[in-house]
Amino acid sequence: MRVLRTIQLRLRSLLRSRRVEQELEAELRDHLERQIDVHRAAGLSLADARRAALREFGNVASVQEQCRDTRGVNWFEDLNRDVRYAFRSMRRSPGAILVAVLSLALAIGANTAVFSVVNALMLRRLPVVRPQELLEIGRLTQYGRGNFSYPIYERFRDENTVFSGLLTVSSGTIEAAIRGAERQPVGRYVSPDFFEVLGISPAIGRVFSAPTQTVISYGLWQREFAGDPQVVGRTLDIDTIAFTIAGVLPRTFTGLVAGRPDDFFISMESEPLLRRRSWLRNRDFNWLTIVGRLKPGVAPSSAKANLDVIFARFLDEFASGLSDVEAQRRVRAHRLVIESARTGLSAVRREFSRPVLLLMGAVGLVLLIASANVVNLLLARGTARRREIGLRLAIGATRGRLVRQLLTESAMLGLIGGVAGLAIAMRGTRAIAALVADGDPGMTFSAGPDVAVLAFTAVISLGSALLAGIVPAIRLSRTTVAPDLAGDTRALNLTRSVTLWNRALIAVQVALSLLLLAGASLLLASLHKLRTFDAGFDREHVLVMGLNPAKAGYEGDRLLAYYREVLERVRQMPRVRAAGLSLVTPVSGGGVDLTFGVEGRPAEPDAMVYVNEVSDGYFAALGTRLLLGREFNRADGPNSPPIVIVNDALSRRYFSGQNPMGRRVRLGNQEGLEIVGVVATSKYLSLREEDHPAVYLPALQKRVQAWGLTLVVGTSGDPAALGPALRQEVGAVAAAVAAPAASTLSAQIDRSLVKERGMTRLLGAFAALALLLASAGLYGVLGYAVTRRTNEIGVRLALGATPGTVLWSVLRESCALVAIGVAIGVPAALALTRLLASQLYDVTPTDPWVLSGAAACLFIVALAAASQPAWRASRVDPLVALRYE
Amino acid sequence: MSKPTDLVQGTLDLLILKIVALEPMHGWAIAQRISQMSGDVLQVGQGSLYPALHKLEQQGWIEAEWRDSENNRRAKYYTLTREGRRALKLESAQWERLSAAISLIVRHA
Repeated sequence: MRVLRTIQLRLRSLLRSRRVEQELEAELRDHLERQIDVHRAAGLSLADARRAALREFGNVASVQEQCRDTRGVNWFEDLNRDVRYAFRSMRRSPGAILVAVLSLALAIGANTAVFSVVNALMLRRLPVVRPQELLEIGRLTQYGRGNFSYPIYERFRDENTVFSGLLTVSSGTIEAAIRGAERQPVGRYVSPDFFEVLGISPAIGRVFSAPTQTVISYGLWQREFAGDPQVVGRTLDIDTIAFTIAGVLPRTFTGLVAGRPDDFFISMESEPLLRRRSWLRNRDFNWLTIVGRLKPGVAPSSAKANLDVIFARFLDEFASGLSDVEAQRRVRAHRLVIESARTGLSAVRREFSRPVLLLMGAVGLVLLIASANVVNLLLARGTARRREIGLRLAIGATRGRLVRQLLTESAMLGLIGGVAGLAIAMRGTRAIAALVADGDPGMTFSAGPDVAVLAFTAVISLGSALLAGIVPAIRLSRTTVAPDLAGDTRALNLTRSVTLWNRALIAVQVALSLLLLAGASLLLASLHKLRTFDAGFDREHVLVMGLNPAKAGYEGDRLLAYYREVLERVRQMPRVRAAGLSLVTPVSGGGVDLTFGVEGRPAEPDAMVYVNEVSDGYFAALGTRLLLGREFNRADGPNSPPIVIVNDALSRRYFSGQNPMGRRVRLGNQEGLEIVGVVATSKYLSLREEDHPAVYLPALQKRVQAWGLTLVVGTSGDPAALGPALRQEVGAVAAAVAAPAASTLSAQIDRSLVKERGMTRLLGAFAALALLLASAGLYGVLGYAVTRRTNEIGVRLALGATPGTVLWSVLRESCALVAIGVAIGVPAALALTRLLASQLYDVTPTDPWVLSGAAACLFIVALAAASQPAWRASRVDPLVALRYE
Repeated sequence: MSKPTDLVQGTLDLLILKIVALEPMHGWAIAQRISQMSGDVLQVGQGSLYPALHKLEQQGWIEAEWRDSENNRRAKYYTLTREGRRALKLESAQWERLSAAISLIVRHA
């Protein structure tokens, strides 16, 4: 109550200050008039009565001022005055202020941009009803996180007692086709009650009510349907079926996965229409994510207990259907994991949160470096302003008042820096999101500045500026009055301690830069290793092109003949070393695995091998070495016995050094496959994978599959240059079959390094920014020191010092500062780069070459930053310097 | 600021509350009452009364209202609030204790 009243009165004082001022005046006048009346009644003349009344009252202006003070009016007026004063004093040294503001703006911009991504990825709540009630249900298997089959979902849905609703959504996406669209819409299967459980109603139309209906996102509606208000009833082609658009979702809802917006949703009931063999009754395919909405008052732990029982029952039934004891044991070992789905599903978050948090830490260091620049600037200006401060103290300003005024100045720096930083972040966020999601167009962080981001920016700008301002302000307010007014600015030891501060800050900036530089170099070294190590194939001289003649109606022998002709013609082309076809190309993000067994031996549980179908010429084209036996060839036709080629890893694993040639193996439901060759092991799904057994089937031996194959061409010389000619040649084989642009294998592999490349580029950019800020700081401090010491340098030159010694003394000083910084930075780097370990490939976080390289880089940059001040010092004219005082 | 007012700064608040507790009053009347009640012992500069009044108003212990007074004047009348009444009770108790303690010391020293 009282607080409210005080606020009300203060606001009144502030907003209706004229009125309050009038009232104050009227009140005092009333008092004086009454007093005058008293004196008049006692017989004094009007003039004497007035004098007497005024004497008794005291200083009217002072009383008014005191009243205003108690009303808190002055607080605001002082602020107003301080702000204006700050502007005036900033105008006096625009260059230095510009450097400080720019430092802050860049650092704040970087911080805000990264925070926007953190916010979008980890903090922002789903725009659904009561998101805190949502739980994501996951499964932990011996391979890591797993999904669920539809039958399990049904069991959970029907048997649980803890959720008011349980929805499921496919973890993978389906693609729709829109002719001429820049990128094809992606969507997901969702359970029919999906929107009901989330509490979302469409902005237009309604949710699907039939298997051939779909609901599209606001984004897709704007992008591909130009926001057509009559969009309901139009169609979206998914595979061969035209889905009717039933409604458009609200703008805020882009699906459950942060960072990966969905363009449309179709019901689980549509699934049997699209998949020739539905997975809805299949207990083996785990393709669904499950999210439940807790009933009010139910704790997540009791929800888990409830589901655990259902899950255990299901696993029991499932396991008892398996013949193998070991497989049964493994299935029974599956566990449920439950986590809050408040901010959306965890898949993208799990993958990206660590890199993004590391980047957040990195930009935090950049902000520290920028703040150090601000501290240095304020200290330097403080020294120059000691006379002004001394004067203000002399005429009665309190130290508290001075500190407040100086802090107002730094807050203004922060404010300007924050606004500029926000502007930088607007552009930066998109760049960062694009870098993080490079080559993955489906991934966008709708990372606009919301309240959280704005609050973050405000807090870090004001916080860093005030933090930077506090030491200089307190130091300056300790200025003593007398010597400063006397104009003796040299004799004070303040200068020395200020430069001590400056130096300490430079050393800290160097240390922080070293950290960032070391981190960026480690990532770069790791990326380089990933890009160049021997993955079992030649990445530099290979072109790939996806072909799908089945889409043009080619079947059976015609299809086979088409592929044959493509291979013949391509092999005739100049600068083509070899050409082949394959179902899967290395590290393309997809793959097939099947159960494997050796004939004549009992089946091993979980014996899964990677599978690829390849034609003759494939291994030659990729440069994968043949270790034993032969490649596939044209003689391996439809009527010859079934054969396979295996990789070295398989040979070691299952034949432990014995010759596997001629042995027969089982693969999935195929039996009696004879091994005719062994090739070197190559990476299949990812560059980081361990060597894994793989089996190659002849792609053109039997009935050719209806899905497409990829043409793989080994070139001599730059593969990219051959691309257009290859496209033309392949296109000439059959006009009906589309020949898309060929891409190089290295480009395709780079797409699998999205995260690594994004991290490296961003951390590199931040390290460069840190270096820039730190060198600006060093330049400023040295330049300032040289100016302050002009006099001393002049004396030394007059006494016989050579310009060379002066030059060297400044350079030596900067080297000493960098050396101290490196001495602090190296142990810190050794401790902190360990955080990067999980992001690194074949590089140890404590790599001595990386650290010494970073240190060397710092010395070079520091010398460059010091050269101008040093040169200036060496050119001081002794006469001018001595006259200067 | 002069020494005597500094001395009575704390007590001035108490006096004002005490006086206003009797009836709503404007500033001049409060000043008169203080000098009447304290005789010539307390030299309260009339001007220093006002900052104290405004402070008490900010604290919510008294309320101000413009009212008509005698011979067509308008004056700002101060009234004790409920909170002010509580504060007065507390402050006077404290004052009693303090003055008792001081006189005890003075008498025995």
